[in-house]
Amino acid sequence: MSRAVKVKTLISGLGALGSLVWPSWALAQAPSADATAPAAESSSEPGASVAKPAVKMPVIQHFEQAPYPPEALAQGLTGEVVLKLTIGVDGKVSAAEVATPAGHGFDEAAQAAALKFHFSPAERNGVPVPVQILYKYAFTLQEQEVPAAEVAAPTVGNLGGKILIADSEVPLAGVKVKVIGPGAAELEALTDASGKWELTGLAPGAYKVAIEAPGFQPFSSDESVVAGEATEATYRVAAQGEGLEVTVVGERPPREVTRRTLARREIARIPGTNGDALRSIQSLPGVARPPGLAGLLIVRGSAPQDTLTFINGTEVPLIYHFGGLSSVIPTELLEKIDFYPGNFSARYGLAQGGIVDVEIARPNTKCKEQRSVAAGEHCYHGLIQSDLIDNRFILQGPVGASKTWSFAAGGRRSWVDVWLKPVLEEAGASVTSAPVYHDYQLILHNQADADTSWRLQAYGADDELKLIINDPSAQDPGFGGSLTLSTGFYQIQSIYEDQLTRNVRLESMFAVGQQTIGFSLGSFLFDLKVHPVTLRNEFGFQLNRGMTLNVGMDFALLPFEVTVRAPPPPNPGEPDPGPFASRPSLETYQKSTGFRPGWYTEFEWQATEKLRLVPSMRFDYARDSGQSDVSPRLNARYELTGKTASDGSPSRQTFLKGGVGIFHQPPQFQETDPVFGTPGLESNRSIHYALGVERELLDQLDLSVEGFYKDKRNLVSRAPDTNGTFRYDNEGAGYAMGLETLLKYRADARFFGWVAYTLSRSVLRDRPEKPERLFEFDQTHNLTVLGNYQLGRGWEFGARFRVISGNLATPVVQQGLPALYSADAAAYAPLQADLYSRRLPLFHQLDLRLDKMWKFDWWAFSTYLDVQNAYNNQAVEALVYNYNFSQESYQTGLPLIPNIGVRGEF
Amino acid sequence: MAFLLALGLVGCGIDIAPSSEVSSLRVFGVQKDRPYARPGEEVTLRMLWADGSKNVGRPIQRLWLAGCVNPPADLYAGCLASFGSLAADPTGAALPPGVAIGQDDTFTFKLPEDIVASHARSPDPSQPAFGTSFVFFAACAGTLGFSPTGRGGFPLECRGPDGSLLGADDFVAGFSQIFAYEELRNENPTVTGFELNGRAVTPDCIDAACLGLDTQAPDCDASPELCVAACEKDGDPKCTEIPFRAVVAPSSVEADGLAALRGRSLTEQIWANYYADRGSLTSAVKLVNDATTGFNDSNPTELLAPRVPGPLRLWAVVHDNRGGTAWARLTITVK
Repeated sequence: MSRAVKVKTLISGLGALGSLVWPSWALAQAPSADATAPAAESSSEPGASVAKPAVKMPVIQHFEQAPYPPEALAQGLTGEVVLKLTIGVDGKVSAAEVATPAGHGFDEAAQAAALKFHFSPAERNGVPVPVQILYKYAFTLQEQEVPAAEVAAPTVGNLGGKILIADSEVPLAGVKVKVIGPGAAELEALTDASGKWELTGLAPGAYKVAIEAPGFQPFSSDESVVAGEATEATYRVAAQGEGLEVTVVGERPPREVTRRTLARREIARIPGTNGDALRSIQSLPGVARPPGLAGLLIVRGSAPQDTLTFINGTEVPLIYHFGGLSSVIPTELLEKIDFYPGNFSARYGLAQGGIVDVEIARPNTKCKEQRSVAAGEHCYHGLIQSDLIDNRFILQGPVGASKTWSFAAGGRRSWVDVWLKPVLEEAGASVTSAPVYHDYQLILHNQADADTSWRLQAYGADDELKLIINDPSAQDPGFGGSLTLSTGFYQIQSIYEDQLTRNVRLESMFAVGQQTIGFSLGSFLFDLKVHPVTLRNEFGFQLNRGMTLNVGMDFALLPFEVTVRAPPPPNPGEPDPGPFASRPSLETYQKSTGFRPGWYTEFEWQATEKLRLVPSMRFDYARDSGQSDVSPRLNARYELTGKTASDGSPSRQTFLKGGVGIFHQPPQFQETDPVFGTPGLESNRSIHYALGVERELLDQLDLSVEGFYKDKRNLVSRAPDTNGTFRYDNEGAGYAMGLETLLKYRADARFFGWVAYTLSRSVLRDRPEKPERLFEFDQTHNLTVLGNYQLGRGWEFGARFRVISGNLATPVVQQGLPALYSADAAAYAPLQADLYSRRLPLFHQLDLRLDKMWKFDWWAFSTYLDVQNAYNNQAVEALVYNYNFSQESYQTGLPLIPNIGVRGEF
Repeated sequence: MAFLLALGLVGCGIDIAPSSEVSSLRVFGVQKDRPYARPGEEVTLRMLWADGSKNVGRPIQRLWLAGCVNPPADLYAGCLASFGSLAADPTGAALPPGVAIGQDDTFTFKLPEDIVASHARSPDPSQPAFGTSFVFFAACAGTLGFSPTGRGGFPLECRGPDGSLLGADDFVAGFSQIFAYEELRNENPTVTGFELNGRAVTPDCIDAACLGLDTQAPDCDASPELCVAACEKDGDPKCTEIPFRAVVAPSSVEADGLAALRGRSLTEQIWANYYADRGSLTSAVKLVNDATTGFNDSNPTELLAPRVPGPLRLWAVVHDNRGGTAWARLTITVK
């Protein structure tokens, strides 16, 4: 241990001190080495807090001493030049740009020297990647060691340590460490490339260590210095703001009990989904398998309509083309999908199931590694893809020469009409307009600085199908004749995010749009048009180091016009009303404006070093039902074991997490309609309970186990009144409970995969006087095993295997007549046994996917084969009967379906 | 959803007996002389049935049961409870007030005078005041009786000679619903004949004339248009498909009065159910008139003749979506 004191002395033969600074920023700017694994790709995890891309910073291996500028030397000047270095995968510095000049000849000297540096390359997930870093080249006047004899008696100690980025082992270099000692004496130190710092020769006593690094939360700690000893401590500082979350540090500590994030690469490569965005969610725990192609999200035993889907904070009611064929937003434009199966943040309301929040990516302007571009130059990217379902294109890049404006434009058109039209005609339909869908997206993004961004994005989708069913169903001839289906929506969204001050963050979203659903079949009609205006603002106030207050509003103004002409649909649990064809239709026309404002407040409170509490309160009002709902919630997370054990040795993080909260959801439109429903209904209410553990098992392997219980009360149900007319009320109840397990290997350069298992039971009681029954989509066991491996040479292979409890079905009575003949409809009305009392055979399916990419100088060509149901299992989807219900059989699901796609991109 | 429905129609289907195949006791339709009646009017119902079982000529009992007026939610299921006392009395001797029983192929009963007045007003203000009554019927290839247990909630049961309960192949029970309006009217569709293999042919019978009518196989020399060649085997897809359709008078397509009250221009939805006691039909149900796009008079089903020569009966039962029904029968010879 040196006992020298530092005395600034002018001597000749001066040195220079260089250091890496702000490595997180550096990686955020890193161009992607692989178009399929873009730099902005977020990690995924069983629980958000263990998101950690394996990142290795470049380490300098050859340092080139810069000559001290003679003029500066003569004047005794010192200086610090911040350089932006571009380091290739070979570790060589290809460009050195002066970011912060110092003048006096320092800039030129530092630039020339830096071009001769050599680094070990940066790595992400073990793969070298090019990187841009900021490098501070400090010209100081060398210290002269004063002979020990002149030094005071050894009555001092040292204070130092290491600074790391929270939730990672990445050192934070170039950080200024302030140390305030006895008598308010203030000292400073700078961390080196390995994050280390040290102050020597300190008088014994209490010291306060304060760390302030741009982009990171302020941190301070109290330490003691003992004479003759060195006090060392390792500090971990957490990042601030969204921009950093997806680069090095991972996500902010979650506000929810469980957030499951799917990154773009995972979404695009899960076998059996054709790379479809929302279908990928069905591979996560807590999500039941919907029957067939249906695009239903059935989360933790809740009805499909209980789970809402958002795109950048705006609810989108139509998330699939044709109810399940493919998602309305192409995967290539997504940043990630956050899925909250329960106990979600007060940021979200009007839902008692789960939340899916889709985030559209910032347009990609990064230049590929192969291109020889000057530092800071932005590049354009394009993509054209075609498969058996649709064709799509995407173009994105900078707006002109701007370094702050970027854009993305995309479009997609299905061509299922080419093959589906003859199939439908073969089935007896006269096709007027073959089924076709298209969607479009336009994004304009401004990134003024790291903290401020504004985005204007417009997207929409349209589906259309017109045909005449010449052969009506023998089970219900009312389902015949002219069938038209047209759905569509567009949304124009403005999203503004700003770190207003160091402690105040603003997220603001405003959207206007239109949603239309038109459906007619014979004389039945459903025609809905809505012009939603939504506004969402959230302020985040960092009150102190451990407490953040989020305050938000969430308004939806819904002018709508709807016409419905149809018989009242039966509810589960009601006797079969007989074929549609035999019942007179009701008609309603409503033109009104729904208004659903919501306000919420939420504390993110780091109560102790290990305990994080998130209490929140949400208030919702629905003008259509006249209901006001208050929804208090509490989520908590406790770090059982940290990254470092008490003895300083490395350890694996373990979190205990839990939550309880109330969730309200207004009644559905038809339930409060004066013709089809009953005005004055109250909101459905659920209480979510969750308790779980997250554990990092290995560097890339995480385990999450979570139990949940959902107490459903006040559910809208229906029963005949004294006049015999069916009326809705809030007499329904039920519960769902289960255990979710996710063993996940976080994506690295070659592999990602997981095993997800859910054990659950969901029960409903339609009326207090009725017995409990299983929920329609109850699935006791749901096991998904999937993995994707990059074989090399552009080959990639994935497989997904699922074993899931069979669907539930309602059989007909087993004795006597199974059905009565409705002579007016010429079809039978079944006499049903207990509702959903038959469990159909186990579902199991293997899906495979093979990708191959050829990379060329400036573009890449890839192709894939996605095979659903690879061994052609005849999975049972439903019970079906002959015309009089005397014969029973199984309706089987889709057979082996291969889908081939090709893609070119640059 | 429609797309998924379409997929469901075309793929992954099952191989079970189609409704057009007449191989057991069947009731094809019930025709009301007044599909929409006025309060206090008499309504006559006719039942068209056939026994396609191999037990040719076995006796078939028929029974009608009327008297269920304005049940809860206007659903047939709401009637079953009101027939509970019938089930409790196996003899059926003590009929509840207002309940009428009939036998044979026709049945006439009178609607209550207050059927409209006693019905709860619809929440749909555009819907005119109405009342409704259900008439239940049964056809039994054994002995009909009131069910002491009311299995499935239905008060009737059919037992074979050995006392065992007969199933759906030998016992058909069902219901027909009559709507009563003060003003609205609906007439049955009109079937004028058949078209076989592109040629108009004269049917055996139409509507009431078909009840109890014996089968007469046509002479192929005298009526070659009523003769078709046998296929090499039953259900042979390579066999020639013979177009066959009922001819419905376009003039019998009525405007949907309820829709008109709502200011909409819609017609009735009309379709035809086809049945064959031998051979097979490619489609059991065919659209005749669509409520929005109109009449569809060139929409035949196709007959695949059986392997065995002999007479073959074809029925067409035409329905509108307001309770109107008409039918006709054609007998051809397979040679």
